[in-house]
Amino acid sequence: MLTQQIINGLTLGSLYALLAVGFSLICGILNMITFSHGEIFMIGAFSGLYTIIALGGNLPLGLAAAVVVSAAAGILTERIAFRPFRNESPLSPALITIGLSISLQAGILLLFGADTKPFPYNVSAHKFILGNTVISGIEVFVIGISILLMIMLHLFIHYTRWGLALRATSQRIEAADIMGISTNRIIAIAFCTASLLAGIDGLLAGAYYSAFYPRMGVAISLKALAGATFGGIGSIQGAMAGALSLGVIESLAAGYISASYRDVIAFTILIFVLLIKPSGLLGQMREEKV
Amino acid sequence: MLKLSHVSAGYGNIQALFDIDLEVGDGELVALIGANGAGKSTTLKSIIGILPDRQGSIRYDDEEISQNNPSENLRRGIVMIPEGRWIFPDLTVSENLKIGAFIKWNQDYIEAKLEEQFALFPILKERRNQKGGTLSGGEQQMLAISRALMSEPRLLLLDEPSLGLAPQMVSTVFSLIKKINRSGVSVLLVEQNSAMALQIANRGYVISSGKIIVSGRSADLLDNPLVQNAYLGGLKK
Repeated sequence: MLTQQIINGLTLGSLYALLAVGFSLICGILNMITFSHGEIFMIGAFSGLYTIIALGGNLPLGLAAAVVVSAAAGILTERIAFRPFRNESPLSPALITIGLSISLQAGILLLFGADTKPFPYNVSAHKFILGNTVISGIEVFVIGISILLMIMLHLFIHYTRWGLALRATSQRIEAADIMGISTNRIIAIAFCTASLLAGIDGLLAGAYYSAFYPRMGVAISLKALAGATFGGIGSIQGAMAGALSLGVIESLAAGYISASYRDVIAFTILIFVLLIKPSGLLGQMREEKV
Repeated sequence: MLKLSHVSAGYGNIQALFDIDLEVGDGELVALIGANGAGKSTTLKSIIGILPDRQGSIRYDDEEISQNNPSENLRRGIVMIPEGRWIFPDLTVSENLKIGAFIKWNQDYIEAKLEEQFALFPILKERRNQKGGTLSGGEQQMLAISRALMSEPRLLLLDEPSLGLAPQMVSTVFSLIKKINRSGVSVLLVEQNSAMALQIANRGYVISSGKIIVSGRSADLLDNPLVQNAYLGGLKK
């Protein structure tokens, strides 16, 4: 029972984590929050699903379509909702992305209808049974892909030239500018990375629940944002840890206390942790040295 | 090598520089002194290209650079060390240095340059894996200078390098600037510590309310009663 809940929680947490790191990347660099990240997730999911259906089951191409469409949507979001307001109130991008999120949901609704579309393959067919714990193939796949992407993100950020530039830009954008770093390009890279992770996540989530619908990104993106805040927003590792813990806490609450109160319990714990440590689990308060 | 003619600049509606003429010759060390808010930093920002509102001509090696961005100027060998040093607090000392050579990215070049800088600044080698934000003010100034040298500049724009440093550190930094200049790098030095700046400089400009009011050889400026009263605390050197 316990291992079963933990496996379920880690699957859920992995789905949150791929969105949470995106929030962290964007917030870390611009100190602004995007509210259309859930819709990037959703259009990634839809483009993946319809590519897979159109090509008679080509999963890798479906994944590629999700990546391309969501990355393009992310870059476009930065252009219209963030770049014009770079040095202004963070409220403008917040409002524009809320509007964008409503329009994207409406657009997909008009194009594909309001009904929930199933994933065309039975992804739970393969099962691994360890004692009394059942792990389905899709859970292994979701956790595996998520871990792989997290490792790739970590390597990109810490061991490449552009990753170094990204970290520099998020710490001190004006200093990055005078070092000759094209900070507009770095911000676009951050949006592109955050969005392609969201798109892959959308396809994974759609397949896992076998449900694709226009509002599929709403609740999950809010939870991911909560997870990122819980772990310490702005910190990539913090966002991963926060999202995974949120998934596990939710799953344990559902299994041991009450499935209907899972969110209440999870968010109560989150609020208490933030009251004690406002910067989040792994967040740091930065001091400036003169 | 650098020649500003009739440069005006400002921030939005506020004009900060009025018709500035200034020159830095090859291998020269030039001081730009003046009170707080006189337009010293604005002059450097106009040259490096982080100020959108500027008019007039800025020529470098007989080429117009007044519309360039910092990246283009860096490629030509102009590097600025801003006031407050602008170290990346959460990057290690090595990473801070590597960012200095961002535009010349090449693994071999970077490794060679790092070793060169570590030989010049042993304290930075010792602290290579420490985060920039954990260094003392003096060490951060060393790091900022070293980071600027990573891209092999030909013209260094230095903004208030002595600000916030202990007196002993100030003289270390000044002799370092002199040493860098002797190695062939031209320097435009902005300082509130006018006396020390003029002592190491070949020539100087005095700026007040966005206008150059006096200029000349450092020795002459140090003897100029107006400069002495206004900027050298009324003291003779």
